[in-house]
Amino acid sequence: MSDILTRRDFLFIGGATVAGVTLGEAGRRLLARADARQGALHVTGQQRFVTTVCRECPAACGVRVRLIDEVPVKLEGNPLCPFGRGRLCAKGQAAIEGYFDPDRLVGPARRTGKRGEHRWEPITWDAAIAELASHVTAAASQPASQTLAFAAEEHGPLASAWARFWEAAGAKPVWMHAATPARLRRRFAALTGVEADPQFDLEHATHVVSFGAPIAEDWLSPVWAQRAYGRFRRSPSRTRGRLVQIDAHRSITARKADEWLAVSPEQQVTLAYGLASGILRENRSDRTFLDAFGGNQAAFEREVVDTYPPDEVATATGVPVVTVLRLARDLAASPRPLVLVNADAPAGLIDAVFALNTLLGALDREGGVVASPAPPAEEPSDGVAVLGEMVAGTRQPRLIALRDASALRSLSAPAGYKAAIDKAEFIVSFSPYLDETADVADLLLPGPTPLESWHAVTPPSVVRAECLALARPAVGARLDTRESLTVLRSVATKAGGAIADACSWTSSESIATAEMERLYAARRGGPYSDAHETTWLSELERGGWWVSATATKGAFAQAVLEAGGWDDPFFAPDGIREALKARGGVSWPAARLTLASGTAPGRATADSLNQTLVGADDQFPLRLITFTPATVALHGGENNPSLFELLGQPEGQPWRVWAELNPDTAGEYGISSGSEIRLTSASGGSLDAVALVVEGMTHGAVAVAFVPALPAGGRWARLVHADVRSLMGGDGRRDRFAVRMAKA
Amino acid sequence: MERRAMCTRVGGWLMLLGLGTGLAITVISAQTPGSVALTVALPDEPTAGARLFVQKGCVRCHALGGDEVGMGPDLGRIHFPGTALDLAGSFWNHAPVMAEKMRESKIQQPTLDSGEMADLLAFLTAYRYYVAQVGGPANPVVGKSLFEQKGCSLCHGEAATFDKKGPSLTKYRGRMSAIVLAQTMWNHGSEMAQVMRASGVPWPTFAGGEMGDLLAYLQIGSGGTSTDRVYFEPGSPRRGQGLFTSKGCLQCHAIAGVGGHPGPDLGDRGRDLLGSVASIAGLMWNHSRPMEAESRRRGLARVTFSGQEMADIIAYLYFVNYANVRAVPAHGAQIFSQKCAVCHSAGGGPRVGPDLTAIQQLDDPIALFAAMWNHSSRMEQELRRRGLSWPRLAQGEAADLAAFLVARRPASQPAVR
Repeated sequence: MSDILTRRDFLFIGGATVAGVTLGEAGRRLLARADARQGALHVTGQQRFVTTVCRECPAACGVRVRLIDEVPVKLEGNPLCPFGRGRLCAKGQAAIEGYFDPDRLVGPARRTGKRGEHRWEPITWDAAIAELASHVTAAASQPASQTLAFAAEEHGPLASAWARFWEAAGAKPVWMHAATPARLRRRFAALTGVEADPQFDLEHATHVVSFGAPIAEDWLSPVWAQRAYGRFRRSPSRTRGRLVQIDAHRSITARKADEWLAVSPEQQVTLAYGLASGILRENRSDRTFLDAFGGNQAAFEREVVDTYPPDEVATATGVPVVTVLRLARDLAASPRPLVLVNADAPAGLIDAVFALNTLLGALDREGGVVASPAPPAEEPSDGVAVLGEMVAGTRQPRLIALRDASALRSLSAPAGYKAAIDKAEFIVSFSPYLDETADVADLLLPGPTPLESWHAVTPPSVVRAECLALARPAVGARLDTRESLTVLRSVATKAGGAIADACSWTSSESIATAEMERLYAARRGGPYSDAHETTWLSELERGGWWVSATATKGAFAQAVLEAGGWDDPFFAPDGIREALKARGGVSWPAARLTLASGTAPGRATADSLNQTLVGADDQFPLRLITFTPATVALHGGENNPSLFELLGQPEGQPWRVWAELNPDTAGEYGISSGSEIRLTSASGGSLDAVALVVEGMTHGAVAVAFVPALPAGGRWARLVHADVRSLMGGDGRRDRFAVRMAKA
Repeated sequence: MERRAMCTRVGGWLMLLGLGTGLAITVISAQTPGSVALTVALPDEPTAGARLFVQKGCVRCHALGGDEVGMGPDLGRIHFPGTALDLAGSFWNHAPVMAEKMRESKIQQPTLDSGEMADLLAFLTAYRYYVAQVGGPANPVVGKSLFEQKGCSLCHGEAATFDKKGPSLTKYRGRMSAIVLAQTMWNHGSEMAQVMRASGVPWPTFAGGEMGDLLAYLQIGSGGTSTDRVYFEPGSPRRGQGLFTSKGCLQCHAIAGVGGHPGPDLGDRGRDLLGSVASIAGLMWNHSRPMEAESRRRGLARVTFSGQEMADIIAYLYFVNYANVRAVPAHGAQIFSQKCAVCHSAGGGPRVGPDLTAIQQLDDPIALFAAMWNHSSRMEQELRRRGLSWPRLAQGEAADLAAFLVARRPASQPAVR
């Protein structure tokens, strides 16, 4: 290199110096800012899955939450959940919308205006707890049952803790019944003597006759039911199962069935005994089973054959006599027949269905009815009955606690319950949402949504195992919320005395942890596991062995929480038969039902089932049939726009309420599909709906979806205006009303 | 020169063979000329293979005694009465058929390390013990008549009553492990014998599945509840082996020639012991009275077991021949030369395949078969290309081959896993 600075060298060095000065100082700063901006705009996209429990219905299915940068973005089924096995229904998938609901309550608040005016002032948790404690203490000094604590039915350690607090406070915990197998337990026990929930092995049945069981909607445990149904229809290595659905209206299950028979609810029991009569007349019952366990079958046979001759059954039900006989023969001819029933069916129909299963030898066999291995949960009080007493004025509580909106949705007449509840001096709501509870409450203590909560729930018993769904919060609390049990613990501390003594926990977490310690010490079962491992554990236990999944108590708790629950796949295969042997056979139900009118016992009718229609006369000639769509929840749901979107999709009527009619009935009124109609009942209420003409629907009836309109609910719920409850009375019964119809 | 080189080479081989044999295998007796005992460790946790059976996809083709019909044979219905290496030989023999089926089904062949191979072998051996034998064939009706026939009803009743000398057996109702009954009967056998002698009740013995039937009768009436269940962790054959020595059983019973007398050599009675927990418990019960007399004669203390100890000792008895592997290395050399030498050498350097003595970490017979299994797919293709048949191993040949190969390894360590 030469010592002489050339022009080219000068320009290079000069340029470098300028660049160094500018980029080195200001430039570098600019670049740093740009980097920072880029960092702010681009999320790191860290993905994580956590397990939790779906609480949109009592089934308590396992859920896997997909978190991106700790924000929940998707819910899907937990593959280890023994009854869901990785599936999740529409309600479960929509639950994430509850977490992001823009109308969620942001923190504790006290009512400042009149009830229903929606005027609130935010308060601190300390103030809220102090206020509740003063009311609870005051109520506790009053005679019993001055306080009612309503919640949707739930079993498990957390539910027990909730009940313990209120019982210690002299209150009555009231549970709003859910349609789980527990509803069938009493009738099952009456027949067999087995004090356990009955389980239906739909998956392995070959021919199923279903009396209104909403298999494709929300039967017993919806995800399990739909999975079992899928296998029943399409299992490898055997022929497709056949389904006959007996339903008053064209339900989703009825659409999927091989055969749908529209029979009104009060006549279904007649048809069930009609089938039993057909089987017995033609000597097609399972003789081997009945010879061993039939008990006093001769008397039952005489009664059924005499009371339900096929021609009379055909006249009563509208089902042709040849169809009745064919149904009976098809059932008896199938290798593994099974008869199903809805959990909230009348007792008479449940009895008839269990009797049919007994005649078919379907007790304690594959594809039949078996007894749950799980110990039966305590039967809770009937919430609808308590609400009915309040409406009737025979029960007037001073303090009402509402854990969710279930109590306010169960009663048929909104005006009736509102008036009854308004009489209470103080109402506290623990609901996380702006729903009907906010409309009536004096104090709002919002709890976290299920994604933000601890869970320790006993699911309905549908699989051959004892289960407990256990999970920790999937995400941190988004708003200023507190778990109800944590709040109750604080209230108990303030109240002292018996209430404080009854609350041994500090939080939901402490209760769940204690439960896991109990399970660890039990030396049986293990964390939820895949199907093969569950089968292996079950086989081991059958042989008297047990293998610990983990070495320490802490590792066990961790494994259970990561798996989403604990189950013990223990199963005694001949539980029913052993019990029947011990008690000398089946106790058959009375097929000749006692009539409410006081006349001699006779065939099952609307009268015998206490289902006389209210207001049925020339003025109101149509029978009102209500049904619950799969997307409607007893509590929650008002904040899930996707569920409203799904509501009427099969009928092409999203966000609308529709009424289903028989073509002949529609023709008599000059109504066609899509017509706007108005239904009016004897109670004076009316409902506007869109008519939908359905081939095969019961004649002289109109079917309407039970979709509660929630004007006090969130922004999505307010968009649905029609409420079928306006047609009903106030005692909680849904299926006994007559209406008249006119074009709107 | 050539002769000297040959002598040196043969001498070297023999020396190496002798050294390797001395280190890797232990010559115990000369039941078969040149036979040696290969040391295979007893499993500590035979159920560990259950998870592997699923993880490795075996469950996709093989059922385990259930109703499902798989592509492959139902392994729950097959008895595996031989040693661990006989079972490993069966693994090897089914490899080509399995590979073809897996190709058809587009399934990747699972690979196994030596630990996994050992777990799977132990699990398949134990499966019937833990499940099929225990839960299946017992008949409570037969058990009820046995309860009368064997005189149990003379001392035991449904409830504790003054006219019965023994306690009520209702506490065994429910899902009680067979271990509980075995342990109770064993530990109280002495007192029972005294009472029976005084009452003139003959000492009952149990054959075949009679003890299982009796247990099924005692368990009946559980009612399907989850209460009253007493489970035990599956016994550990390895712990059971230790107990067999520490409790003094080895003083009277030999296992494959090792141990004392006058009790029978349990290695010779291995097939009798391949039964359910209840049937093994029955055998133990049957010999408890003469055993007690012999113990008294020798001045030995009475042997009692805790529940888990009983589970371990019964598991060991079930597995008594599993690790009792005898092999003839010379026969193994012949097998190698007939079936493997086309592609492999044992110390002669790589050919089509590698020199089997040069591969790392094949000092253990189980590791050897795991490696054989892992290369079976490639080997099957090579054999197919050359038009050669699959080298199948008859019973005992797997052990002979393993003994030969382990012995040929330079400076190999004792074959203890």
